[in-house]
Amino acid sequence: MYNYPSFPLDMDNAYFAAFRGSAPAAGDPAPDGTVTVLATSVRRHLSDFWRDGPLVIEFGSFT
Amino acid sequence: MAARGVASVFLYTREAHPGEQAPHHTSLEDKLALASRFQARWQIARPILVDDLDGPLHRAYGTLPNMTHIVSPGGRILYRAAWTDAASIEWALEYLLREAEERRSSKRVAPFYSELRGFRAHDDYARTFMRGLLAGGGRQAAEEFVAATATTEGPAAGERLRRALEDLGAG
Repeated sequence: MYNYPSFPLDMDNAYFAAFRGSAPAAGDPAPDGTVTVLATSVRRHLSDFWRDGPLVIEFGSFT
Repeated sequence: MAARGVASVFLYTREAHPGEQAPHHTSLEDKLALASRFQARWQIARPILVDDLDGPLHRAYGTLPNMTHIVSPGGRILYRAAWTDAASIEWALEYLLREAEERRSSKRVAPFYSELRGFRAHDDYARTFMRGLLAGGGRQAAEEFVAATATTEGPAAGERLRRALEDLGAG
């Protein structure tokens, strides 16, 4: 379940291993998709933000 | 870095450690509302982009709670880290901007694959992490992380976090 209501007991290790093993790495095409821009509520492609130069994408949440 | 053509965004994901203060999202509206609170709380100046409710982009990039990627204008991943680390991001950007300069000169640029094992340094990791979880998510977030750490890393690691939580007056 992606939006879990409670932190799963055994989650972290599997995800960190998968990041190393199967997530796209340096040199691979960067996944694209739609996002909602918080400031404007406009839907945009993530690739709109890297078209004009390198883009740093930090992923995160409150917690 | 903005003056040198580098853009930076924050991609808001699911709550990694949901709790009383930051519960799990149940709708995109819900997710946008919590992202707004997050922006206001930390005064984030970068654009915040909110992933869809089920996290398609978060999952496509690796699902980790605090990872960072640098993407080229051609849409290739140039750098990725399992944990956001300002020092290596800064270093990587300088390195990548130098590559762009070399490309503009007459030199031939041949890419190759490279990896780096990063590190985090804390004066008191347990206390720092527990304080962050209490502030962001609340007691539920902190208690659940103690339980998860005891499960994955053993009772001693769980006990260290439990003591840090008690020291913070929330055990």
